Amino acid sequence: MSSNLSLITLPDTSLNNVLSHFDYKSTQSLRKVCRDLRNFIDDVIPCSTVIKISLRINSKFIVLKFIECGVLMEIEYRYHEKGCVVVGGGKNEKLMEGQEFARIFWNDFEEMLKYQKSALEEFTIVFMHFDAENKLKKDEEIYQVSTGILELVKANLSARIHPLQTNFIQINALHQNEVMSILPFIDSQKVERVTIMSAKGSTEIEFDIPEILNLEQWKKSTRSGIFKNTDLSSPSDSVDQTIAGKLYLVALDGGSVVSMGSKFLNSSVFQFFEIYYNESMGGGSLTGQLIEKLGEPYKDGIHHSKRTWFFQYDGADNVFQLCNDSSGEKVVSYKRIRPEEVPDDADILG
Amino acid sequence: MSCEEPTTSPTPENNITVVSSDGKEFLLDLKLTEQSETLARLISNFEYDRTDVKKDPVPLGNITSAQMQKIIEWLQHHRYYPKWEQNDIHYSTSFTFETWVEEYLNIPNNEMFELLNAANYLNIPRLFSTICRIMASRITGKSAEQIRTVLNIKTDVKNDVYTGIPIQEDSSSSEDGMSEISLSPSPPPI
Repeated sequence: MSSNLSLITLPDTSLNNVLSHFDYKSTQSLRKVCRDLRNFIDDVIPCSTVIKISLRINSKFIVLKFIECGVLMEIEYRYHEKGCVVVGGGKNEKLMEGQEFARIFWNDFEEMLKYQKSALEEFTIVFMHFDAENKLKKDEEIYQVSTGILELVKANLSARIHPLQTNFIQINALHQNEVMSILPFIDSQKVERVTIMSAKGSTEIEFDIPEILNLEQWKKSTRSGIFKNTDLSSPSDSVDQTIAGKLYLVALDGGSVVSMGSKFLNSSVFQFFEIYYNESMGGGSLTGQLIEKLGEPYKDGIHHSKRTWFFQYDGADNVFQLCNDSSGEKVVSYKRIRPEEVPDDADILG
Repeated sequence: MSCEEPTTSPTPENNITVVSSDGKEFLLDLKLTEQSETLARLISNFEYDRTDVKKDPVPLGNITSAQMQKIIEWLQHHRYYPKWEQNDIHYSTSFTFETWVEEYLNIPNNEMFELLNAANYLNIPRLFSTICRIMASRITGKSAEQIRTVLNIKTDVKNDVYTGIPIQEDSSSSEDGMSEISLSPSPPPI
């Protein structure tokens, strides 16, 4: 049998089927084999099977990690005085002279996003404002890298015909801009979980919480939170570090509502949290259980199903509001409010 | 029928004749043709499954006798397999094959491509998909240079007409860097 058949002379259906079994990295290798294969792949853009992507960005390097078919791939793009060093799999180093590391990273990442047609399980972006290896010293030069990357990411994500899909997105950041350049452009239909963390080492929280809570991505998610990053060496209950959050639960009982509330009441960073629930657990209604534990609630005369309790924060000029609405979509919400927001005829408990 | 062996010779009542491009005739059991959507549709359209219908030989102009022999071998091996169902995405990443399949497809690349074209023409989805997967398995995880060796493809990087230096078409590291990066064997969580 003699023939001139080769991979590239196969009908499109066959070649497409072969490509559908490739992981992203193999597709990229195949793309480099010859011009015809490259043209074919560039035309078809086979769907990548990457399920997790993580980026860590600071002024000296960017680390791109992704998991595909159960295999982790890690590429580091590092600043070098002569250009950019690309390190793959922790061993193969390659110096690309005269090249800017952020640009080289972006070329790769932009290409990768093109192939990302299916939903990711996880997408994590960490802006490392503080140097973890140097006693969390502030990285003043990060903006020289992150500003450009953010503009490129925002332009890319907002221009996609089909928005990038991920079930879980985590952004570790310091500024609102770092969240708002990414989160609003993620497909809100697919997001189940949003986690926003203050950059590790930061003491001040600079997020505009209401703007984030107003995003469709936040509203459609079922388990989301904005947290203050904690030092992992001193493990503490994550609830203490919660700034804002939301949760959907099948069943909820009065004891859990009260114990969670007391943690929020003792937290210096807490602002807002809501728990949606289907039914109450334990004896009687959740409202009944709360009245038994907290005493008579405040009722505003308009919303008959809404019960509210107010508590004074220790050492802060704020009031902690716990509210339970048992009609329609049942919800328990906790909120830090200003004293003037408390109705005149309501009692503030100690 | 219960004692039927995969190698049972077809009898005139339950078979059709197909003719390969080089004029060789093959007697094909109707049961085997169920695996080929092309043949199954043809048999149903011309009512070849009825005993009172005259069965003209079916010309298969795209398939040589050697390929037909190879395909019949496949059809006979899979005679009692359940109907092929397209599997989910996780299946596509599986590169494990039956020993029989590995031996069956231990053939030169060009023969494999021809067999793939034949499987495509006759629409035998299990064979088609298996060849695609086995081809992918031979290429995946390899660098561009290794793929060129496996597929016997010569590089077509053009030299600059003035300098004679190979033209770098794309300066991104996905061109130069990523392919040389090996995957870590055991993934820690991100």
